[in-house]
Amino acid sequence: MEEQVTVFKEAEVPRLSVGVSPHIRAGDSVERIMWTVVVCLIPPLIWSIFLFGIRSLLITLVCVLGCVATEWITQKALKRPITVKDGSAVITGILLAYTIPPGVPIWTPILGCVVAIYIAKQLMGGLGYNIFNPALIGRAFLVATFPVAMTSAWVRPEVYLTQAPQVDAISSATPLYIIKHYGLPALFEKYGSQGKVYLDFLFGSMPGCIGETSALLILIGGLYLLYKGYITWHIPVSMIVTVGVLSWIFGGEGFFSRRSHHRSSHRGSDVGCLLYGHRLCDISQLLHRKDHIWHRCRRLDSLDKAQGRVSGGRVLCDPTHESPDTCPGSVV
Amino acid sequence: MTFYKGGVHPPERKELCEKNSIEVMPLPQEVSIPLSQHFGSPCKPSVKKNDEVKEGDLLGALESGMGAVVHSSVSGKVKAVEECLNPMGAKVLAVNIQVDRDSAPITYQPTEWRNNSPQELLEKVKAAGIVGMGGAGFPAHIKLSPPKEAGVDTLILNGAECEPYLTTDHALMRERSKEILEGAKIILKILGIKRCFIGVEENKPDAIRALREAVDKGKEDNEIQVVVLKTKYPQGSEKQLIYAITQRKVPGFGLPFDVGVVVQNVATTYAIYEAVALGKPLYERVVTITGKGINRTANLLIRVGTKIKDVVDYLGGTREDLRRVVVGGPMMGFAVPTLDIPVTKTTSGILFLTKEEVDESPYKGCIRCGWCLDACPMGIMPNEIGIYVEADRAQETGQFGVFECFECGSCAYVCPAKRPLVQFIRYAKTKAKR
Repeated sequence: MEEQVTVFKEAEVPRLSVGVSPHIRAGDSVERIMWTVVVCLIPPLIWSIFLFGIRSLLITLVCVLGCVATEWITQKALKRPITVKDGSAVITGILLAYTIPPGVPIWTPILGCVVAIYIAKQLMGGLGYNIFNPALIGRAFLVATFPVAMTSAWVRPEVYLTQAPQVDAISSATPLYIIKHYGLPALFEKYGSQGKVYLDFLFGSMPGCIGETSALLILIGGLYLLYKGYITWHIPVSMIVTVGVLSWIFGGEGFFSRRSHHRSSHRGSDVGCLLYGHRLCDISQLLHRKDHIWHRCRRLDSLDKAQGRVSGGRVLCDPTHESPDTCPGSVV
Repeated sequence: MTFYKGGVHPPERKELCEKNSIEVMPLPQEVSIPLSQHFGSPCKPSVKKNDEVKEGDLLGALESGMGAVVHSSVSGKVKAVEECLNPMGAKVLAVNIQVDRDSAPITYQPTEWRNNSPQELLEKVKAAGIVGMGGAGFPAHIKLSPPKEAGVDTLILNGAECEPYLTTDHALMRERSKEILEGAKIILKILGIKRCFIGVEENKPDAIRALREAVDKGKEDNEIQVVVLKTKYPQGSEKQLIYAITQRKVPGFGLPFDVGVVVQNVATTYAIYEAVALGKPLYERVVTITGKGINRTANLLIRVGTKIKDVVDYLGGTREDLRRVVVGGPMMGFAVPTLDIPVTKTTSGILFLTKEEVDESPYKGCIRCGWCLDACPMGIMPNEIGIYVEADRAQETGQFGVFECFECGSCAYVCPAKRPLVQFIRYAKTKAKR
C-alpha cells in the first residue's frame, strides 16, 4: 500500500478515478429528456388557460403536485432512491391533467395521480419498467370512478382574459358527442362550415380535454422533440396514416367522421384501428431496425395510450397526441 | 463512404493535438518492457539480471503458439525481470532496464527489399515483433499469412483513427506518408496481390493530401488508392471499415479473410516498412499525449517500456483538475490507476482527462428509449443484455448477439441513463452460452 501512495506522490497526481470505457458520454440524460418534454407540453397549457380559464392551470397543478407527492411518498415507503427531480412524475401529472375535462371538480384528479404513480409506475418497478402509461391508467381509473364528471364536464371555449367564468354554467358538447348523436352535418352546421371545423380543430377552439384541443400546439411540441432526436417519426406517422387509411376504407369522410358510421360500436372499431396502427407501426419499426423487435413494453404502452383516449377524445388528436409521449421515456 | 448501420458522433477534440508534429522524447532513466504486448501467449525472457543489452536486442522469444517477439528499446543493463502492471490492469512479466544514456544511438541503413521473396519479407516482419498497433495487438505476421483458399484480393490500410482525441495515425500519415506507402507495397508483395485502399476519415485533410501525393509519386504496377471516409465512430473498426470501402460484409463470427480482405493499421504499416526496409525491430512508436489535464500535448515518439510518469515529467506535469488517465482512446481505452505503467507497442494514446471531460454520473434503470439499438454498429441489443445481467440472467444473453459485440462503446456513449453497457456486455460474455 505504502508503495502505491509514493507512486502518486512522485507523479504529483491526485487520486485517479478509474472506470469502464467509454470514458466520455453524450450530453443527453434522462433528466434532460424529461424536462424537455415538460417544456414541449407547456404551450397547450397556456392556450388552455385562455380557452377554458384558470381552472386548467389549477387542475394541472393539482395533477403535477399529486404525482410528484405520490412518487416521493411511495419511494420513501418502498425505501427506493428518491427520483422526483428527474421530471418523469411531472410529465405524468401534466399528461393526466391534459386528458381530463376542464370542468371537473378540482380535487377529482388526485385519486388518478395516486393510481398512476403508485400502481402503474412504482409497483411495476419504477421509471422504465411500467407496462402501461401511468397517466392513462390514472385517467382510465378516473373515468371508471367518476364517469359522469369525466364525460360531461366540458367547457365551451372562450378567450377568458377579462372575466372569470362560471364554469358550471357553460358546459358544451364535444365534437365527438355531436357526431355520434347528430351526425357530421350537425357538426358542420354548429361550426359554420367544414373548413371552419378543421381550422378550429387545428387551433383548438372547441370543447375538449385540457391539453388536447389544439392539434397545432401539440404538433409543435412533437416537432421540437423530433428535432432534438428524442422521438422518431415512425410511431406518430404510422398511426396517423393507419387511422386515415382505415377511415377511408370504412367509408368515412375525413379523419374523424368515420365515427358517425359506427355509432354504438365506435369504441371497438377505434381500438381495432389503433391496434392495427400498432401492428403497422411495429412493422415499420421492424423494417427500420431489420433485426430488432420493438419492445413489447412500448407497444402495450402506446396501445394503452390509444385506448385511454378513445373514450373522450377525437381520433384526429390521438396520433398527434402520441408524439410527446413517445419520447424515450415512453414510460411517462 | 461509411458503414451501414449505427455509429455515433462524439466531439472529436482532436484540435488539442492534431497540429503537433512528431516529437522525439529523450531517453528515460529506466524502462520496463512487458514480455506480453500482443494477442497470444507471452514471450519467454531471453535475458537475465545484470545482462548488458543493446537497443534492438531480443528480450523475449516466442516459445509456442501465437505471439510476437519483444526487443529492447534502449541500451543498458537489466535490473530485473519481474512483474509489472500493464495498461489493461493485468500483471505481466517485464524486463526492467537501467538506461545507459551515453551509449551511441543505433542507426539503420535502408536496404533494398524488392529482391527478397515474400517468405523472406514475412520472416523479417515476424523477427521484428510487429503487432497491430491500433490497440488489439494481433501479431502482424499471422495476419499477413492468410490461408491460400481465402482468396485474399484486397489490402486495406486503416487510417480512419475514429477515436476522439487520438492524432497518432494522423501525424504519422502526414509526416511519414512515403514510408507508409512503401510499407503498403511490402505488404502487397507478401500477400501477392495488387489492390490496396488507404481509408482515412475526412477530418484529416492534410493527411489525405500527403498520402495522395505519395501515391502519385510512387506509382508502380499496383493499384493503391486513398479513400476518404465519413467522420463517424467506429469507422476504424475492422468490419465497419471493410464494409465502408468494399461493401463486403464480414459474417458475424468471421474474420476479414472470409471476404478476401486483410486490414492493417497505418502505424503497423509504418513499422513493417521500418522492419523490412531498415531492419529495425518494433521498439518505439508515436503516442498521442493529450487531454485538458496535461500541461502540454504532443505526438511523441516514445520507446516501448517508458513509464507514463516519465512522459508526464517530460511534458511539464499534469493539471490540478486531472481526474482520469486513459491509455488508448476515450471510447475503448483503459483507465489506469497509477502512472507507473509502461507504454507498449499497442499504446496509441495517453489521455489526461479532467473532471469536465469524464462523465462519472451514476447510472439509472433502463428507460427503453432504444438509442443504444440505433447506435450499435453490429445490430445487437445492448439494452436487453444490460437488463438480463442486472437480473442475474446473463447466461441467456446469447440470443441478443452478445458475442458479436466488439465493445466499441457506442451504446453506453448515447445512453441517457448512463448505463455501463460495455461492462454489462463484458460480464455477459463470460457467462453466456454460445
